[in-house]
Amino acid sequence: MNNLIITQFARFVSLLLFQVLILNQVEINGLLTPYIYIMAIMMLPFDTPMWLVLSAAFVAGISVDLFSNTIGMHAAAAVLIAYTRQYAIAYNATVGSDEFVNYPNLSNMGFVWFFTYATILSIIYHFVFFTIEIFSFYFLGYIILKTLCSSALALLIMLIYQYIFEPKY
Amino acid sequence: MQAIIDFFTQKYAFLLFMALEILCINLIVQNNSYQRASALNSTNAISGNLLEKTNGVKHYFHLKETNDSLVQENARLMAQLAMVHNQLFGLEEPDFCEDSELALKKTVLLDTLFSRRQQKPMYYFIGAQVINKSTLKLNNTITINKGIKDGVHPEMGVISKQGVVGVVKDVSENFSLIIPIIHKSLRVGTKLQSNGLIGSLRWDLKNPAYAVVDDIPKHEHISVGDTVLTSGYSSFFPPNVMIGVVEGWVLAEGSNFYQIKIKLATDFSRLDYVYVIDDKRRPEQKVLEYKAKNE
Repeated sequence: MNNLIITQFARFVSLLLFQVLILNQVEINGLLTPYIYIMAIMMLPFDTPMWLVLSAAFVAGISVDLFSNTIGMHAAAAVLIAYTRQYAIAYNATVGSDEFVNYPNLSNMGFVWFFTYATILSIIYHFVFFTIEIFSFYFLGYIILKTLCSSALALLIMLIYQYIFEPKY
Repeated sequence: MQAIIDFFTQKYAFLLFMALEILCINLIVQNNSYQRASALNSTNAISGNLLEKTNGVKHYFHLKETNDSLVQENARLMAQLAMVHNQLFGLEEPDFCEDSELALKKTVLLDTLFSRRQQKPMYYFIGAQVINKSTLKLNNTITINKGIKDGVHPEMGVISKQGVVGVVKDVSENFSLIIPIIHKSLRVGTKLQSNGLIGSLRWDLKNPAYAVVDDIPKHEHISVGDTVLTSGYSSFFPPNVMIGVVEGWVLAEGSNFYQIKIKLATDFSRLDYVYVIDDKRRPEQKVLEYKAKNE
């Protein structure tokens, strides 16, 4: 149990640092601004109490905001996906395996389950964040394009992470 | 009573979710205005120091470029100094003309350049290094490693050796946050070099290398390649600081004003060292304008 908490906490902090110190500094193109720290929220154990999921998401969002001067924007989007997480899990429930698993990751849940789950949440996250950031539906086409491009890149990085750090036992 | 407690225990997740979202929206709205100072940004001690450390590593990869550009800047400044020196002391050579006209000329020259009544220079420059920046968002920001300790205050203008960079928004002890001209809500007064037409600059929201100048009426003549400078009417920047070069223009149907596309002189993607402008007469100007407004 303790081990699980330490792993989760370490993942939380390292993903945040990776996001603000490395990923945010790499400016490839205006359309490609992936946010992968939300994976820390996605991978919280299934039985985490709701208040903890929501507060963890809020803390994570505010931390990223502090580094990128977008105060409240990341936090709002992160809290939203923390709340929708339960529905994404319920939506996917039937696909999962029968074994008892602690938290969702690629090797526990299988590729299809994890990919669907991560896609739903990261598209919601990116769409909400870009909408708040740009704050004008005049740019709706641009927001959607940016959401698709950034989510695709974010998912790619998340999958690479899953294959490297969450191997099958 | 029981029903109320049941309601809260069953729906507490949703209520907490709503409370957090309202808090976030409140934060966003409060910090939306680019002029309003706030404490929650990258100038705070934790993120500022972390960013400065990582920038230290990043800085090594650009040492050669930085050196080259500093040498170039030195050369340019030396040339300028030589020119001023020539203007000042070149006149002293013709000693044989003893009439008063030359003496007059000399004093006038001394007065405009040294300004005897005001011994101090009007502008001081505070050099600083960029430790964090974004160039591809709509709300771009730049964080630099100088703060209150070094004499930086909000609303000071910031330039680089290439041209205008932005305006200081927030300062902390050791760091400052700059709103660059590539931000959706910053506008800067401009002037065309060839004919002195006044306009106002805004970012085109898409490319960090381009901006748009509005408010120049369509009966005026505009030429491609003309230099765009600061007008000096806003108190952020001194007059005649380089902003960019005219690339082309659009005249929307039914509009009386050009939309002039400008290539910005400052390369934001490679921005490394900047200068914060400390205008010593600014407080005086502000007090005067404030008085006039409230009368």
